[in-house]
Amino acid sequence: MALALLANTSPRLIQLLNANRGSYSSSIGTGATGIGAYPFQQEIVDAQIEADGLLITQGYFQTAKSPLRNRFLTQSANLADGDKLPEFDGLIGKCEWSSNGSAWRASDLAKSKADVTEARQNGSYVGAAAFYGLHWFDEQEGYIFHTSPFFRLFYPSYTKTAVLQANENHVPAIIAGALMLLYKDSSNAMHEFYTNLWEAMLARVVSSGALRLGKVSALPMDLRG
Amino acid sequence: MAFDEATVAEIVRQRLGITDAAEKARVIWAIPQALDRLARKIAQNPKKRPLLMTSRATAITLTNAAVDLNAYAANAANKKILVEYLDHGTIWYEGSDLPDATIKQRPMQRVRNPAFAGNSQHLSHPFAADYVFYALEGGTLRCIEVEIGNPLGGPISMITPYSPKLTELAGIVELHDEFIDKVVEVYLQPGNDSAEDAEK
Repeated sequence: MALALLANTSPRLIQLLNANRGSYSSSIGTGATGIGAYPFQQEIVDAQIEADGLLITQGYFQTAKSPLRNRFLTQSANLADGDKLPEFDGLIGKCEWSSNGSAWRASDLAKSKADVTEARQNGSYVGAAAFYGLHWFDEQEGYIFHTSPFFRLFYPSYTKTAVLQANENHVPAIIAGALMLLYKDSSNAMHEFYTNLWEAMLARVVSSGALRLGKVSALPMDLRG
Repeated sequence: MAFDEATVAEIVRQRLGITDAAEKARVIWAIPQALDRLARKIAQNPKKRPLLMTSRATAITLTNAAVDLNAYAANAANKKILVEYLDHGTIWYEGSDLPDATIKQRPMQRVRNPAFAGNSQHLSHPFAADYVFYALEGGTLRCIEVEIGNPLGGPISMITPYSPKLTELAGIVELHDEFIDKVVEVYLQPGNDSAEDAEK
């Protein structure tokens, strides 16, 4: 999927905001074309980038069974048993373990925290190496516990830039989000309308991946389309 | 073919139809006990017993006519000999402390009464050239002196039932299925699964 571009979203917004007398312009009106509603173009650009950031962190990062957040997954440093999790918003990508720090394999989520901590502390009865490849998140406290010599995870990370980072097909959500932010001081009715539109679109982004992929994987092979 | 703890846990997971590997740690804890249960089950089965016997090359050294087999088995480098099934095996004295030192391998014969064994005891020795007599004191194998004040020393060897480590069992593919049965048994429920394990 291609990325959304400010060059495509700005004219739409400027038209909706009546910020240029000319038809469908990519910049706000000044001088003869100005109507004074939005004297600073940067305010509109900032609102789009903020909405884009919200869509990614509150939408993409929260979708289960969806690859929407894959582009934002960042590899953590090697985490020792009992280390703090890196700060992130949303769902973790994958967890990997290694015995030597070079060949990585997928780590399995254990049944309980005790399964991991006891294997770590008292595992010599069986052999510590027997328990490699298990981990447990203490999500309330933000810690990782694992049994392996080396452990890392891939977590979603968003860094704000000067361009949009969401996908092109989510442009309506970015526009709705930008209008929600821009209308906060001007009109209650417009603010409410675009807030609701934004919420609905965000919910759709969060749930769509899960719904679509969930259905497919739940169906028997012979019932799939 | 790898037959390590992770593989065993995976085979058990597949056999029981557990969806994911979250139970892995709990299965792995069952492996050492399952190995012991398997060893005792096999030791009692005359047909299968040869599958789990130590090799003749197993070298154990007598000191002052005695060796602590439990301490020997506790060393991870050694075979974990099942002392209670020693009678199902054969032990040879291979030292040179007996009168006719040219005989290098004398089968050892167990006597039930440990009072006869020890450095200060002397038993009229009927077949000194053929047998060395020993008794068990707990897990300690103690030989009867042939000459007072001259305790036996040197190596003994034995072919006897033992409890394998998983790395040793990996090479005995005939027992893999029964071993997985034992892991499932220990993992799912404590206790005995069948009368076959009689003395366990």
